[in-house]
Amino acid sequence: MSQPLLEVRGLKKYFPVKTGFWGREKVVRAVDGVHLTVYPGETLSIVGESGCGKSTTGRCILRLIEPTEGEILFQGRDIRALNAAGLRAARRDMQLVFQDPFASLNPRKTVGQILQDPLIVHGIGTPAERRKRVEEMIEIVGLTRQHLDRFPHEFSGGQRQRIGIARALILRPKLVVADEPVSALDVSIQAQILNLLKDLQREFQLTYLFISHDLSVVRHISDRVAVMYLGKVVEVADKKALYERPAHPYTQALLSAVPVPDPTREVNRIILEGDLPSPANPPSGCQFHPRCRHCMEVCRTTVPPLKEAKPGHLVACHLA
Amino acid sequence: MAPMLEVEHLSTTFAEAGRTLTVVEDVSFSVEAGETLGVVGESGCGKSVTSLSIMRLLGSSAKLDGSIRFAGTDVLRLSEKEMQSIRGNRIAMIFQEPMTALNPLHPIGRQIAEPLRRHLGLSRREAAERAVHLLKEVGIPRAEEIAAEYPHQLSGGMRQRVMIAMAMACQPQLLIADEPTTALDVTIQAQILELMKKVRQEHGTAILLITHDLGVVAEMCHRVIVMYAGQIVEEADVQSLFADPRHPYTVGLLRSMPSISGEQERLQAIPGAVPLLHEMPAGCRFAPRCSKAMAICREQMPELFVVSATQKCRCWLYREEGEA
Repeated sequence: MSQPLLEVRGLKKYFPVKTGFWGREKVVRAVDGVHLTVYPGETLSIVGESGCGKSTTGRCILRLIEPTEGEILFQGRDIRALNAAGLRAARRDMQLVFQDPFASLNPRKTVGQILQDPLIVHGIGTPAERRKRVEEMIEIVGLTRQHLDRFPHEFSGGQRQRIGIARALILRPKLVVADEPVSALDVSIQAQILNLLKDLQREFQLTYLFISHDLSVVRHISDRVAVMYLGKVVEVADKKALYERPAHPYTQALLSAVPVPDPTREVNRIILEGDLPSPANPPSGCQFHPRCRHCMEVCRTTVPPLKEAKPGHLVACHLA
Repeated sequence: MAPMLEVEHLSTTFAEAGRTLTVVEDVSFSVEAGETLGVVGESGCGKSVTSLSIMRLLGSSAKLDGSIRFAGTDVLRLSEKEMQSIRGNRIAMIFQEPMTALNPLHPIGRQIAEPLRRHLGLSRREAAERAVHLLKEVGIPRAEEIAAEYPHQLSGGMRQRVMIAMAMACQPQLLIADEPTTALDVTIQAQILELMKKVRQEHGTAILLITHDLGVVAEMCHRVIVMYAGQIVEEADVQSLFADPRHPYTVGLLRSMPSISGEQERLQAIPGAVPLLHEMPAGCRFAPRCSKAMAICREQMPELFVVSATQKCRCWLYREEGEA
């Protein structure tokens, strides 16, 4: 296999929180030792439920929030060692698409200005060249030049997400981190955006780190999938292997919980008991053990490492 | 047996800035005791306004036409006071976001006890005891302690359980659930769907389930209506809807969904977007996005044609097959 584009090793992000007025300082372990490898041209998805740390992981990789610990190697260079100027230069190659296309576009700027800003920040081209590049980009994402003089509020959710994608791609980045890019959209519009993302990946040889809670969307868009639970990656595999032979009991329960649009299919579901534990006070040993139906004595005391159960299939479970 | 809920020719209009906006147009359906009817559609199709119309929760800016008969009584002819004795008692509602539907200043137990005291005339102590019992029934652990806690202390799944406990407090004959699991994670959604099935089985409650999730529809509903731009475009039993969808919009909706159980290279998206309320096309409202649109579709609104014993479809393609 080729050299990884991105390698994340032992990434941690702890947020300090105060409990009560006089409360002692506690930490929320939002991301607690994440390992990920992303190869050029592929789509790696991070999937998990709210609070599992998938968005925090994405933002730490771009250093939009500062990680507490760990290494982030992008094209072999540690992103965490860069100074402000170095980081700005590196961000030309790594861009983010946000979930909420209503909150992530400046309402006072026209679409043309929004798309031009990244080029100005990075000192690319003359005004005429920039204008040309903006015009090309807006058409690539399926809008027209006439849209450039309008303001974000004049667009529908799907159109705004096209603008968000155009802004991320205008610098021709290598890596795009897409954080729930279709979650706010209706299914018929969601399909348009998913198709667009796939087309753009082929056209510009993009690498995607795709963050989502929607298991059907993830199956559609990904090459490989990482499942997160309470700040840790519990399973990574090729999408086919992950969906057809999930190894971690959490992945199995997660997949079985998704309602399938087929009324003739018998529902055969693993119902998890209880709620997600708080990341401020995670369980001992394997974090999943209080909800796991295969829980053994060792699971209560020892954290299972993420190890290769089969070639290319990593699982963090004492059973694997 | 007469249906529990019978909606006939319901239209809901709002007057805004000198123009009239029709959000729900000529909608008719019925739900029987023990039956779950799904209402499916995307943002702005009028599904939530339909449910709020039934509850008469839209306020004075909304004008309701047609009839809504609940257990034989026309809800639209009742006084506000009479309506209050039905709401939360014989018809209950679960909303999408339990945090905004619960009062943040009152303990959980007191909020569940309120309808019990008001509608069933229970004493303070009886109502409090019954509230704890209801919390246990919806699977809340440490029910006695939780009853004294406030909504912000609970997780999203727990809050939705509280909403269900509150809705079921007076054993309603009709439960309206508006996107009850949309804000929840899938493993928690699975718990809530199981709970709703249990409630339906034990009390024979009629359920009107409003959702955009066709997976939830397939699992929960007996019959389904599909709404688009304020109108019903298809009505079917759940098997027919998935095995033999008729309306091009329903077909498009099913095809545009990524599947969890198989692979497809490209999704078949529906081009374009839903028309705005004040820019509705003259003919079929789906025509501008429809790959099968004919000349008549752009000129004349199709009726809801009967295409089989259990299926109706608002599309000119089915004109010969059935009669309206």
